[in-house]
Amino acid sequence: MDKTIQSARSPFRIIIPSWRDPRVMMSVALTLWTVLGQTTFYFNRDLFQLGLAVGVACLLDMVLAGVVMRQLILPLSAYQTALSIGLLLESYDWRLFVIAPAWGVLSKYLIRNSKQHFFNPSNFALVMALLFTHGRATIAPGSQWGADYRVSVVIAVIGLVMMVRVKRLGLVFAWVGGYVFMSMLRMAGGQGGAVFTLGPMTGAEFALFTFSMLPDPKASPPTARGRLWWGFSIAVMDGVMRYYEMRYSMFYALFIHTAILPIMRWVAEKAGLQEADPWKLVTLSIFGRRPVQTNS
Amino acid sequence: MTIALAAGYVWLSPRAEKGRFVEVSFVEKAGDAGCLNVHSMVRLSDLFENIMPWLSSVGAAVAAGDYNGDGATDLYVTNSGRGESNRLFRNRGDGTFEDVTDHAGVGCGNPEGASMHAIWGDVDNDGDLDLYVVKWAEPNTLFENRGDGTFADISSRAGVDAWAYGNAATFLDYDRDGLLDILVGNYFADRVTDESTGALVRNNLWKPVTTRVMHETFTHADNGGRNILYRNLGDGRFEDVSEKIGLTFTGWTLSVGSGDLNNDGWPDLYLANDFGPDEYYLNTGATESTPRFRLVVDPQGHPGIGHDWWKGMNVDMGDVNNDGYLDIYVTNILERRYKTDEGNMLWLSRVDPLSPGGRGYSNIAQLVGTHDGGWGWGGKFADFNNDGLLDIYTVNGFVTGDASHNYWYAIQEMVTQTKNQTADAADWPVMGKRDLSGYERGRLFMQVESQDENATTPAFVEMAERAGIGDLYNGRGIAVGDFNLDGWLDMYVANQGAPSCYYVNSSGKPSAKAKLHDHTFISLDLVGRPNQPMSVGSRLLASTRDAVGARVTVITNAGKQMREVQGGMGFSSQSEHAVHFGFGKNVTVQSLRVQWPSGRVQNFDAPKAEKMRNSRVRIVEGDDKFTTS
Repeated sequence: MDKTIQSARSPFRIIIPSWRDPRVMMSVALTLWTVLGQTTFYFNRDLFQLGLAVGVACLLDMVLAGVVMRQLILPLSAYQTALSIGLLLESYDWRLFVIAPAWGVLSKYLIRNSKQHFFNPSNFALVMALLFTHGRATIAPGSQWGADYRVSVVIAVIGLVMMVRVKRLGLVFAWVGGYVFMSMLRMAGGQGGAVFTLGPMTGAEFALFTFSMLPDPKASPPTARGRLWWGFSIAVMDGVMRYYEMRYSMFYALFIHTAILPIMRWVAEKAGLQEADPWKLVTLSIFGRRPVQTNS
Repeated sequence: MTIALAAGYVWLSPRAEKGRFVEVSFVEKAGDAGCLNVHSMVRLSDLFENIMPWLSSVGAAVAAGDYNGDGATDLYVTNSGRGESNRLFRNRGDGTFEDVTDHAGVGCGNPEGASMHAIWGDVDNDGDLDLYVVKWAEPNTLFENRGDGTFADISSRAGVDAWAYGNAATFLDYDRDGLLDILVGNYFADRVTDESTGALVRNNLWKPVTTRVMHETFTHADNGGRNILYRNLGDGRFEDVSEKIGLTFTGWTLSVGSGDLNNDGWPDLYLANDFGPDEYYLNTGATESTPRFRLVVDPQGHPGIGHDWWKGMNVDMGDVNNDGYLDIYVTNILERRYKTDEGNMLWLSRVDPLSPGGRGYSNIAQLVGTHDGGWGWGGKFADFNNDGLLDIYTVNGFVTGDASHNYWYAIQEMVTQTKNQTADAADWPVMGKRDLSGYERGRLFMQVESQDENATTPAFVEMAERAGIGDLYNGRGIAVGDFNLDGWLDMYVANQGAPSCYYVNSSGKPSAKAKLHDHTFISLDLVGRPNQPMSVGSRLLASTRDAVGARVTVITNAGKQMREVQGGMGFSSQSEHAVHFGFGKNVTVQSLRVQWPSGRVQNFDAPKAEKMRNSRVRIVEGDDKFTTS
């Protein structure tokens, strides 16, 4: 639970995150990833671009929190957004590293539903950058990060531990399982062999998406079973797009799914349901029994 | 949010190129001039059929050199198909050519492998240029020029007949003993493990024992070929000194360059490697009695000159900002929507006391607009409009296929793999007729005078289309030279699996009609005297006959220019040996200085230097007289 300090003489509330805040652990993990990558694993990211992204995102987040919510915040979310963008986005043009983090942070404040954002800011920023920067943005492929399988293993282990803490392990398993399932179908469809279809799972692009972007609590369903369907559904969409050779498909798939979230909330509200109810109804309609109690 | 998105979109909108265009134009005349060659591509074993377009995407090379000493630069062009002959085009003296391959006996013919590159150099200091042909899966060939227009294969006797996968080579005299040495850059490994026996066997891509022949990663591969430095022993034989002098990295080398990067008088090296970091070596000759090469590494221990992108295709050296130090141009890959963080690199030399050799490098390519070269291959510095500023021409294009069905998705999925997953060619998706950065136009980056007097970097404007360079072939090698002897630098471009292009410079008046108020030039042929060494300390240093490594500095009322004689540089490229200086309008020459590799220095004062203007000048080491033509 975050700690809130309100001074009688100040119009701002000071928000201090708790050590148990999942964002703290995620920020530490991403920082470690970046530092080790730059110093040991030869990630070869541009420090200027990384710094620019972090600076723009954090500053903008603090200003917007102050103006919109009268809060003084430690911009952990923006920091994560910026690092994800700095690590994943590639462009020779430095302006991308101003625009993309700004778009990501702005999306938190300007695209909201039921008083909360529903896009993952990093995902939103990357997709917008891919679509609206005249072809100047691409996403760094995995082997830029060292191409060492041991790094992939360590990242997977740390990532899974984090998923347990943020209660998104099921979501990740559903996504990964769905990815493998769709890869099998793609292989059966003649798109390529196991290395070609499954190999990308060993890259850092996949890892960052899986452990940093996908499990965003604001950008995923509120029930455990809902998240299983959510992860699997993203994997199916991703697999179809990969079959049609659409690069960056997992980012697009997540973006499209999260864009549907407010529609589902609206439908639920119109039907007089709680937000979790549609997910329970999905389960009920498929399995014909009462859904299990969720922890969300 | 919409406003924010729109604002970003507008901010990044491509702007119409502004700036001052310069007068430069070329006319393509390969057919008319008799030097047209339609490059034949290599074809490997059917086991590699799935990625054959990729594997057969190199081999079109061109080397310029005056092999018969008639003052006009000739051309040697490679073909890579089985049974296809390379071609020697003799310059008739007016920029037109005749094919003299059969008479000269330098066709090679690719009976087992494939010709990939060639360079001219006078290895025996007898006054005529010999020819070294670099191949895949066939012994490299050293042709000795007999002096009568014919050549003799002396490869085996000389000991330079490596069986490997060479894509690059340069002549240099790394120990300044007056004898040309040879540096060969190899791509594939020459040996692989036979999985059925576990034995290390020859890696023959025509009769493969395995399909695990590809790079192990796209970024850190060191399972490529071993580069070789042959030291000339002076008795017709060469010695492989690679390990002895510090060349041990087994990357996937595509281009090798040599030049005195830190102005200590000793030739340094820059190796452009595919799928891994480039290598920058400093020659230790200034501080050690036996010269060797010291790999420059960054604080993390990574080789290279700076922030690298691991797909080095080409290296060329030239003093692009006229500060007296060689700068470096490395080509790379840039493709909108698929690969946007890379691009060609223009490494500008700068003072940096903390860097080895006292020189550091800044990549100014994006800043000055020379980074977008597409899928880059050969790239050369040259002063195409005789204004005293080095321009850059770079060619590009990988595989031309069905433009509506490209291979980018497939390649990006393969890039996203951990080590060794890309090594087996059989795991690669079928390329078929797909396109991969085909249909690209070469880029002519013309340097223009900066409008800002305090500017510390040069300024360029891209002018290929305006200059009449319109072909969309997949370019590989570039030879720059004044082939028609009119005082303006022309270009010959070897295109992969396509007709070559001979771009004749039509920018200005022929030299005989040029006046001081026009753009003018001096072209210098330097002749070293290997038999007249200089005593420097306890050493005897000498120049090679073709003066590779010699440096010429011209001082004018507009500043200074420096050029160094190259022994072949650039991907599949060798320009003529002559060094060319252009002078803008009303520029007067105040002095000309030649620094020979022997350590000898010759100065020519203003009256003498002015006599050289608009001429092709021949200067012999130690002789204050010179001849003009």
